[in-house]
Amino acid sequence: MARSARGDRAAFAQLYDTTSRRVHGVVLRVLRSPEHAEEVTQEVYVEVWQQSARYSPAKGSVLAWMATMAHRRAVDRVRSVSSEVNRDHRYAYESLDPEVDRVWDSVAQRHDVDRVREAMQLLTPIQRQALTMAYFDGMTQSQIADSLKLPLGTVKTRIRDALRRLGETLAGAGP
Amino acid sequence: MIEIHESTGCYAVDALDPPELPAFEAHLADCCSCGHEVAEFYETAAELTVLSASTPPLALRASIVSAVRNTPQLPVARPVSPPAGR
Repeated sequence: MARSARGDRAAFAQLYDTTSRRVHGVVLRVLRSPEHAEEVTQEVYVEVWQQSARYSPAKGSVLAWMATMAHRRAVDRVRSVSSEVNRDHRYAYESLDPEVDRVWDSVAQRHDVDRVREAMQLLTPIQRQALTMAYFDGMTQSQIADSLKLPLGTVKTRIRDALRRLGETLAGAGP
Repeated sequence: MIEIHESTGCYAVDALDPPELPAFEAHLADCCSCGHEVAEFYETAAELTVLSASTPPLALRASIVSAVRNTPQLPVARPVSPPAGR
């Protein structure tokens, strides 16, 4: 990132290579349209390039910085083009299906996926579903509350608890 | 009455109802513990992206590499106030 900030395009291309599966993947999952996902992914990387001097480790990891930007753009886009009302969210978590890239180290990828899946299994069903609906379906807290027939305050608490629990588990789980 | 701190999770995954954003972001500017919690949640949320990983088409890489060739980079921002939560 530091090299990218100094205009090193080769370093930036490397950054793209190491992060694009995850960035593009979450954008695609939220938007459901490969065409829109490509557009938004490009916008994200252009913004990363533009803003790279503004990144600092004090803000967190590079991936978190990028994933946060990507998620926000994807959610803004999905809300501007659809009303979300008809999508069935009951199996939102079960339908997550990461694609294993045959070119890169698929053993490491499966390990990464298993680690997060195991952590998700430690959440209660409502915590897991509310978090999935928010993060992967781009729903608002009110839409989730309506869909799960829960009070708004409960949805907020479930999502906060889910993230805390997940964070604790992943921090303790090791590489 | 829902406490404002309870909104950190929804905020970090972009699920806060848009009308709540200004008040929450104002709160974030003043509340260190919420700021730390949101930062941690951003890290945790980033880990979730492995569950939806997907290789983009090769043409996208070329398109992005080409786009940045013509894109100026912003300089480091001069610090004038505490960093905002967003």
